Amino acid sequence: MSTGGRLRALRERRRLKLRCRQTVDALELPRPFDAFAFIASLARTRGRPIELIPVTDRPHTPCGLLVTTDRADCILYAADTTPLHQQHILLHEAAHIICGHYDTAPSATSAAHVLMPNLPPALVQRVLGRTVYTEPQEREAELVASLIRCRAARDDGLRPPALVPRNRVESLLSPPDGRGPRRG
Amino acid sequence: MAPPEPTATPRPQASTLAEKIDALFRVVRRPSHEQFSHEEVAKACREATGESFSATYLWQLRTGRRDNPTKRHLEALARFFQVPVAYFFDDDRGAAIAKELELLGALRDAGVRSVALRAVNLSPEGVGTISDMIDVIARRERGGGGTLGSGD
Repeated sequence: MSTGGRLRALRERRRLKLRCRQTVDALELPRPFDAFAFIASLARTRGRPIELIPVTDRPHTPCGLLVTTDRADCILYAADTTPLHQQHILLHEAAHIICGHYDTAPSATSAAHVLMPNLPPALVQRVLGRTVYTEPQEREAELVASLIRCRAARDDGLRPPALVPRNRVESLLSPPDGRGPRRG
Repeated sequence: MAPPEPTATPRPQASTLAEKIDALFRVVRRPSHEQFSHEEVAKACREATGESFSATYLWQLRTGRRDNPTKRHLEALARFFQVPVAYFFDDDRGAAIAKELELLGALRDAGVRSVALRAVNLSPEGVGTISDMIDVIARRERGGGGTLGSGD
């Protein structure tokens, strides 16, 4: 990439980060943070149902799947995984909803290519009338989800869960007792 | 013989020419959601190939009364419905495309507007699982209920 190209990419990344941070700062987060409660309040605010559908015993399942229908948004999530992982999954899919990704109609697709690799994106769009998500939208959703987690952790007085290895979760989520989180 | 009735059970894989053509008409429709008429499709194919191709003949192909289309007819059909020509000419790829068309139809029938997927290294089993899941959602949307535990 040329220098000009690199600078443009850098500026675009900064703009994206700023947009996402503004989006997240405007959200109302339940305290202490709970992904289920957060999504319930999101649905109430939007006046449109968000159904959470747990899926178990499917080892080849993608972690999360968001299906937007005429009636509701349905998030399928792997339920037989750690609570922290579930939270990641739910927040990622909720972030797509928050960012209003389904309102746009880009031609390149991400999920469509995975689910229907032999069908041209134009056909998918023609049949559905809408679209599936692009790579930039996936990145934006991931960023918004991360920022929600970080803000929730700050609000609740904890270290950001994204930085925490799985086996440290219990100690970090217990109430502060003056000793601070265990290290090492 | 009338065209096959739509059923609630999963459709058999489109393998015959008639089934493949029927699947195209069922899944890829006019913006109004009505199926394309045989005349509309036949006309477009006539214009694309410069060959004769009547609505009646297309109906005969779709219902299995005839099974001798020219290569150019099939290419024109594939182009009209925006599927790869391999749909008609390659058994393996054709079967894969047929399966994906059914999924696409199920998505549309469920009123699905968009799909987002968070997955890393999705295996073929994983894609099959997603199809199952979307089928469950489709049935729920139609009021048929459905569960998503093991064995479903």
